[in-house]
Amino acid sequence: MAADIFYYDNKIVKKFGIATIFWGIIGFLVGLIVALKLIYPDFLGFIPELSYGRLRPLHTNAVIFAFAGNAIFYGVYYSLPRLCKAPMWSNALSKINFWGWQAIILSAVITLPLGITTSKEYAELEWPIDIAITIIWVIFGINMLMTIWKRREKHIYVAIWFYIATFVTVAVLHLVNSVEIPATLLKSYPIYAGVQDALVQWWYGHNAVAFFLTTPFLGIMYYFIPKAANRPIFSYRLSIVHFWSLIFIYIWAGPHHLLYTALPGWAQALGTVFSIMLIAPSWGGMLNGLLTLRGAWDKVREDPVLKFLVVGITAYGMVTFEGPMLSIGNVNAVAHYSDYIIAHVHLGALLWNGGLTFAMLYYITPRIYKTKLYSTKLANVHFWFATMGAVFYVIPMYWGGITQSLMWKEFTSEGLLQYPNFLTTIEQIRPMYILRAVGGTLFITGACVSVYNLYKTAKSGVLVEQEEDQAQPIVDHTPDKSESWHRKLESRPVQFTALTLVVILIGGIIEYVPTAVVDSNVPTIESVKPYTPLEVEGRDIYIAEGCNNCHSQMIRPFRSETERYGEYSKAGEYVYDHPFLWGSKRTGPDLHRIGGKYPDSWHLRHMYDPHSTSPGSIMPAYPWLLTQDMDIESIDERISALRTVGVPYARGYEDEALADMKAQAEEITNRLHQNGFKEVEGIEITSEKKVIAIIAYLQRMGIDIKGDNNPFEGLPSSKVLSEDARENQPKNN
Amino acid sequence: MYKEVLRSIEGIGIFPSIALILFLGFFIGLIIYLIKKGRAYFQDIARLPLEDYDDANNNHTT
Repeated sequence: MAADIFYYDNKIVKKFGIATIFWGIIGFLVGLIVALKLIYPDFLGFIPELSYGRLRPLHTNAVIFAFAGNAIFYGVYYSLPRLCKAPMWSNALSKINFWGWQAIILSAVITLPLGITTSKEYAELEWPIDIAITIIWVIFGINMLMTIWKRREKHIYVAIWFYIATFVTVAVLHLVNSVEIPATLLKSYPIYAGVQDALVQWWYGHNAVAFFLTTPFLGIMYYFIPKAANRPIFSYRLSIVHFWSLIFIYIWAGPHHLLYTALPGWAQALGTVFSIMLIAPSWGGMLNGLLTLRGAWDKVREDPVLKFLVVGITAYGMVTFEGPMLSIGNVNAVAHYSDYIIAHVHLGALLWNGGLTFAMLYYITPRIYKTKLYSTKLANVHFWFATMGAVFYVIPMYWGGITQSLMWKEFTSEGLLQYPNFLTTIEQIRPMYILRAVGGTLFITGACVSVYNLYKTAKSGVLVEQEEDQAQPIVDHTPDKSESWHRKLESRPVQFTALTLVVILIGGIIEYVPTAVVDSNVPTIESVKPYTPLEVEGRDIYIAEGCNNCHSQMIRPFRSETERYGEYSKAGEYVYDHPFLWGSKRTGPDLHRIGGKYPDSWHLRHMYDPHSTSPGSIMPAYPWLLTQDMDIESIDERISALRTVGVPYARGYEDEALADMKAQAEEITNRLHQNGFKEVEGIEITSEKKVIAIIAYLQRMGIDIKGDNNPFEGLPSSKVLSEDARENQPKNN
Repeated sequence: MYKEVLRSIEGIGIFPSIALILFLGFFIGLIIYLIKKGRAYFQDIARLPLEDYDDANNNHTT
């Protein structure tokens, strides 16, 4: 029978390649900027849009969704058609996928510095962008699944299974984690509160690492390692076990981000157990990749593609060993909230995702331009810059993280904190922050060398826009009866996708549903009340400024923490927190019991110039909070939206909210004036400024469990809480 | 509201145990199956990324 002749579209591959490296450099540079800001808090002045709290999410989003995201599409759009022996199903959808994704990235680049954010890590983008992400992701999925449907190769190769799992799971994660009620065009509140929000967020956050930064790159590994080494994967049988066990186990591991928090103990235990089990499939996959090079190690010495692949897979092995170890309670107690975690993720991001991405760029570029790599030597230079950059990044952060964490926990022989001042512990690790910036600079330098090398390579050839290939069509789609069941499954894309969906849903449902159903998982505390309108505004400013990037609101039940911060945090304290703001990193101290700790004037001075109250602080100043007006226009819409997600404000309270907000702001301002703070450095302090709202929120934080606080006392409103809420108010546990 | 929906499913408590047994069974079965089939059975599919158009018939059963 005659073979079909068809053409692969290399133009889309080229576009994704350029986007990968372009956004990569930008993402790395923003990372370097925030690293420098931790050394020199005054770096770049005090421009709100360039403040640390707003740029850090931009860095993480740029690196994850722009750099790694485009790299995923780059790998899929190159390997999938070649594995299916069919061009991508629709060039139009390919183009929409490309331009739509770039538009989403651009909207992130604009909105995040403007302080438009949900605060949920790696899901910071607000609801209109969430919808756009959903649409573009579905378009990518349709294009991919239809290509698989139209394939000329009966068996679906293991790389494609990982691509399918990526598509299905990211869709589920994104949809579940983004259930939010819009208050305005650019502001929404999640329907989940407190503990539930934390569990959903870290189920999402952890699996974003699993299914955005791991499974697609494993698919890439399964395609490019055999191609670059010119030999089949070490064990196909191992890859079958690898795939099913990895996707099944990964989805359960999220709660290891919440050990020792107010999350119910059984959920924490599940997270730990599944995280430890995860070593098996992860290392199975790593060994499968590395052992493919048996007898071909001589090639690794010469080929930069293989070098990047090998260092990438090795880093993957290290990170996936480290992850389970960090999930063990007493290791986590030391490492969590510290820079150790930052080192851990960068080992993965710089070498595993970075390594595989650069390997692809060096592999694909010469091939689609029908030429040879411009300079192997420069690629080797890049390899060493990247590797040493990662080493210089990761080791100081390990060192600094452990040092600082042990200092937080150190007691004197009298039983007092050895380092009661948080700033002492920061000063100690500042040299490590400097070394980290050196590491980052090395990595970026290497990436710039690659841009030159890849550009020269492209210039030396001509893009083969339509690459010809031929293969026989599949005559009979039904699987051969003599084949065993997994081989049959490999020729049935629909069943395969459905089974994948079932496997990943199990863990999510079992872990999440009980938290949602069983009330005893979140013991309610009667004295905990909703926020006043001014505090809601303060909280929204806290979110917009990204305070949660450096400050946690979760005191773990350790003596070292209760001594330093106060009473440990209870699940019932967060029932009105939409979203939760527990944070994941303590660049500054925990804030959960900050309420009432300092006078209002302390916060005023601290916001204007942190050095005035805390000499040596690396917190940036927030002078604009004293000059910008708070948002009074949309407070009614926000109160309504909060009621919709479950905060028991009385019906109609939104109409009284503004009066309450103004009254409380007046009261705080008057108090400041009476204490002699009519102005700060010539800036008049008036009641409509943002700083007043943030003071209200900070002073409210963590004080409700004392039981003697009625936040609405003295405010003009007649009826704040709904009758239903009062009737349903559970008894004190 | 979603809480009510979930609560109305009877016997939801036993679901996790069923799921655990099912999937443990699935993995043990998978490993036994792969050991029984042997390495050679999958060798042709493992070569899949390396095939180019000179290869005669891409595992087709024509």
